[in-house]
Amino acid sequence: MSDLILDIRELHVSVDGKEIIKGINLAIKTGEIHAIMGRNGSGKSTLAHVLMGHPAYEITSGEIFYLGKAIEDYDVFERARAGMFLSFQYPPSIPGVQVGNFLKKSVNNVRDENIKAREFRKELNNAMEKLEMDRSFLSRYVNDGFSGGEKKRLEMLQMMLLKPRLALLDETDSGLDIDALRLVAKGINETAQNIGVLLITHYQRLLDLVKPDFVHAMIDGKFVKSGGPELALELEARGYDWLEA
Amino acid sequence: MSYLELPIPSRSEHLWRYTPWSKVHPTQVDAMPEINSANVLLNGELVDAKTNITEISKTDISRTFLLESNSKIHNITIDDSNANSEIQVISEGEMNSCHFHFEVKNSGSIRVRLSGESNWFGISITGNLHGNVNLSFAIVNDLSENTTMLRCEDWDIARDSTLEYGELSMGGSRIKSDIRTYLKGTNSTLMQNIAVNCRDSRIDDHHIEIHHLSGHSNSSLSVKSACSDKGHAIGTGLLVIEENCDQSDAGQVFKNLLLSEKARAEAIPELEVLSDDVSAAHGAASSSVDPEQIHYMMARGFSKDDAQTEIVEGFLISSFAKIKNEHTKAFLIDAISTNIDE
Repeated sequence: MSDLILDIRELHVSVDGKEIIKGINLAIKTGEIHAIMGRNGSGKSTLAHVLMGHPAYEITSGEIFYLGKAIEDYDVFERARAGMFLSFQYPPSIPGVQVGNFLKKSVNNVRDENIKAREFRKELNNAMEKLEMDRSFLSRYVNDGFSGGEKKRLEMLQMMLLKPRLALLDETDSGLDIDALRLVAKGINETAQNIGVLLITHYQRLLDLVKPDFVHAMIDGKFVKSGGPELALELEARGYDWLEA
Repeated sequence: MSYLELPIPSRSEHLWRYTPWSKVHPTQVDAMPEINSANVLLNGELVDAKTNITEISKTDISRTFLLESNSKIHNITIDDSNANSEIQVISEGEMNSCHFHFEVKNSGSIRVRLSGESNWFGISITGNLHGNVNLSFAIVNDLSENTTMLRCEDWDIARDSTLEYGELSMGGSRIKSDIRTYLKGTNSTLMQNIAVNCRDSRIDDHHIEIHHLSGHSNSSLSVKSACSDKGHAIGTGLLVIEENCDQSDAGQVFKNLLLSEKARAEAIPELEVLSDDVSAAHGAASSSVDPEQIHYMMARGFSKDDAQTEIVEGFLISSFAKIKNEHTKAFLIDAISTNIDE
């Protein structure tokens, strides 16, 4: 069995008739962490959302294969149930929906196994302990009145419980103080060992805590340079102008 | 004046703008039918209304009609010996009605569930909160989908007392509710939270009046309506702060969630402020479900329909987030979950 999880071939994506992604190729295998770095508006978040099937984005050409299957016709929830996970940059609040109930239902939706209540509680307690989350989180409404750090920790908690095959992390580190960043990185490292991870970030500081195998620099909808972790350090030091020359 | 002497209200009146009197009268507007009492279970036991109302002083047509057509009333006192009351009203047959008066001498709670399959149901509730008491009151309308309901409530709140009020309205086909609260004492407080679910072609018309009659009185009103199919929710509010009621604080918010092209919602809060040094605010908003909420939930494996159901349920549940009495809150939230899952 191939260990290729995600295979993107010559992908072009438009929003409202404007091309945002202009020919991306990317292959992610089990156990690999790929980081995408780039300026605002370069198309990083668009790539994450189009992979998750957001209806606002139109694939104009190219293909996306997930676990060997073309997923262009998969609805968002089908992608989630197939093991794809997107950590949102700006998770919306869902007033009236309690975190505890939301997590239980999400786990039942996504994981094939019929997880028993006791087992779920054990996993939940374990994950919350690792992320240093208080039990009172569970009775709050999803992201309602949460600080930036709390929202990102809830995203990590979901990732740990949903056990995805592919995690798409869209600026999971943005707006976090150093303690929250450490906890988020802990969540990523905890989950990343046997899955594929696509990590979108502006900053090197997350990559000090989560070691990528590959780094891709994105400018104007294209990968203009790919390399190892040293590329992230170079981008942090030199910016992106030198790649446009 | 008796009912038959009263003029039929005009639709130009704020109260009758959306639901004319003829639509909520059980027969013809020039008839005064005799209406039987609905079955009432108080704390699990069937009870009869024993007292006759001898004097009708109301000039309002709904209240006059309800009291003239059935003069039996349940008088319930909340005191040391009866702090909490669970009331189930079951309306059967062609038409039923009932009346309650709550004399609240001590802090406590009252939970009322309306159910049954009559074609028409009428209910009037009056409550008198004595000084320095807290009452947590909840009412759930779980009537059958064929019932027309006419409902009137009148609450008086004395000094240093609080009425924590929660309502879930989801039963019946056409509902006219007229709820009036009078903040009569210094530091009297009303916290009123109403959730409305209009499915199919259900029409739910709430008129809510809050009268500040004393300084340093406080009120907050939140009405959240979810409308799907051809459902139609109407919320008219009247907030009155009388003269010499300085330092009063009042707020009203109406929020509507529209879930289909044919669903409709009207939210019309009105203010009459006759004192200078007060805080009074009102607002109304209607919107559809946020597509980013749907996308987020679908990214967690919910189908689109399930995501919308969860969001609507959450929207209604969030109406009761500020209710402090845990029994009251659970009563209301459980009723939402049961209704949405059906």
